[in-house]
Amino acid sequence: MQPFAMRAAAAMIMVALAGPGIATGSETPGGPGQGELLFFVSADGVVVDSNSALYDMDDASADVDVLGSFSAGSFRVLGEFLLSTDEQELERLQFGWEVRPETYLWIGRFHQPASVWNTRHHHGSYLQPSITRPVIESWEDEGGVLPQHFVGALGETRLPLGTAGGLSLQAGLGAGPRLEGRELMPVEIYEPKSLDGRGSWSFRAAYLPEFEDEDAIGLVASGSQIDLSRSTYVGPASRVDLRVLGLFTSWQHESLRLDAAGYLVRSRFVGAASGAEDFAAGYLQFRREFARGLSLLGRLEGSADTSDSAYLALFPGFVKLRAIADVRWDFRPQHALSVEIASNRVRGSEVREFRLQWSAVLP
Amino acid sequence: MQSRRRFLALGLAALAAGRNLAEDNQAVVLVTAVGDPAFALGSLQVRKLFLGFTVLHAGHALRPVRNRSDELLDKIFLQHVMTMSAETYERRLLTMTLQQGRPRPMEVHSREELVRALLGIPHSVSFAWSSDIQGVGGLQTVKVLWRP
Repeated sequence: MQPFAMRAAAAMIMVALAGPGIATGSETPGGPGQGELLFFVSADGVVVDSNSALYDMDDASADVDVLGSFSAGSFRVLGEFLLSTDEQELERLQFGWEVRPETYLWIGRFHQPASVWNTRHHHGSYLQPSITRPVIESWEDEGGVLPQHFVGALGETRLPLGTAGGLSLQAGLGAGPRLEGRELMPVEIYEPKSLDGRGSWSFRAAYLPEFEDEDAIGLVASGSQIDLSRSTYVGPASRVDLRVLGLFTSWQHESLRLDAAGYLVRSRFVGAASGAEDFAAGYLQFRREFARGLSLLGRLEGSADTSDSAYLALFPGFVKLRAIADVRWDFRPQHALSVEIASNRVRGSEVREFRLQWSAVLP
Repeated sequence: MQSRRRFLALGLAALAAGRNLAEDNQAVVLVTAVGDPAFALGSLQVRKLFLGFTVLHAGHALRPVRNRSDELLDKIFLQHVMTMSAETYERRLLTMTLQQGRPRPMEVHSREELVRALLGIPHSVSFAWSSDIQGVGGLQTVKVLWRP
């Protein structure tokens, strides 16, 4: 483990333990605050079958996502640190102030709110309904084409609307990623060189039929200026301006849940003669819960106008079409086994994946 | 879901009958430390509080304390107050913590722990069998949450 990773892991634990004794939802009588320390652990394997040797790579990995928080009065600090066989990264570190009930102002590193999936599930595998996330919501280091991590300020509020409903608003402003090689490189708090990332903004608004429930319908929008490195792009442009507009819904009817999101992405290479280009991507997902902790999920992901996008050409691994089926068994409290089968289309190649995952949250 | 709820309701009724709750005039009540005699909390506010949302009373954020001292009490809390299964409730709390670092409600596992928490933690709110808090000094019943 790198020295930074060790320091960050220690910091995460300190965040949760900074309060009155060890936490996990506990507090001492009369204590000044409450802390949480959760470990989202997972281990998974994937077998890939493809007609292209480029994608024919079996793999196995294990992750521990450490989430720590400490709340005292109106102040809260939240950290999320991912330790895996592939990487160690401080994903979120936010310092917040609840200025009024359900209205928070945060500064730090956060997941930008225009990503519907990631602001809901973050890195907690156990709380994700499927093993994989939709391609358009992929993290930057997983070949994601949209910025996901900002360093800056985030405001969140949830307002009552009508007798039982609510309006959820989130807005973020900060430094976004740059593009190096074939990967978006988000700003890292501990890496001063990366802090020169250009300005990004992000917004999300949702109507909630029930204030305290998860059903929602809403829109998202974001904008990022992404610097291009010479190793990535050869041409007159020095950066890409990216604009994203999206719609989403999440709806539960008895044991059936529907989740859908669609994004329209406009890219413009600043300094190049070509104009703006658009592509669209989205997904439709159904999940049905059955007795004994079993659930079945199906998701269809699609995209349009991707072939003509010079921006997407910078990401050769972008999956244009994908269908997945996922079976999950919550075999004991806070432990689940999942099997997922996916069929992907990547640059003319058919790639089939078979995944198996154990996920849990401890303690 | 409807049939599942009916099944749960029947199960609770059978359990309640087995414990002679009706004969004992038992009820599940919302309880807090003696302070404001006009303390009131609507059903929706109680649900928000135990999901981790901030609920204020007289300018102070209330602290939910989940009473897990009795299995039937917990089932009644989940079915009649939270209106969700235990698994769904636990997942909702974890999700709230993952998203915004919200602390989950503190849990107590005995009557003694409950009384200690309510008297020791300012602005704490919990639920209990009415008989469990009868005669306990320093506590007040806010409202009846469930009656057989």
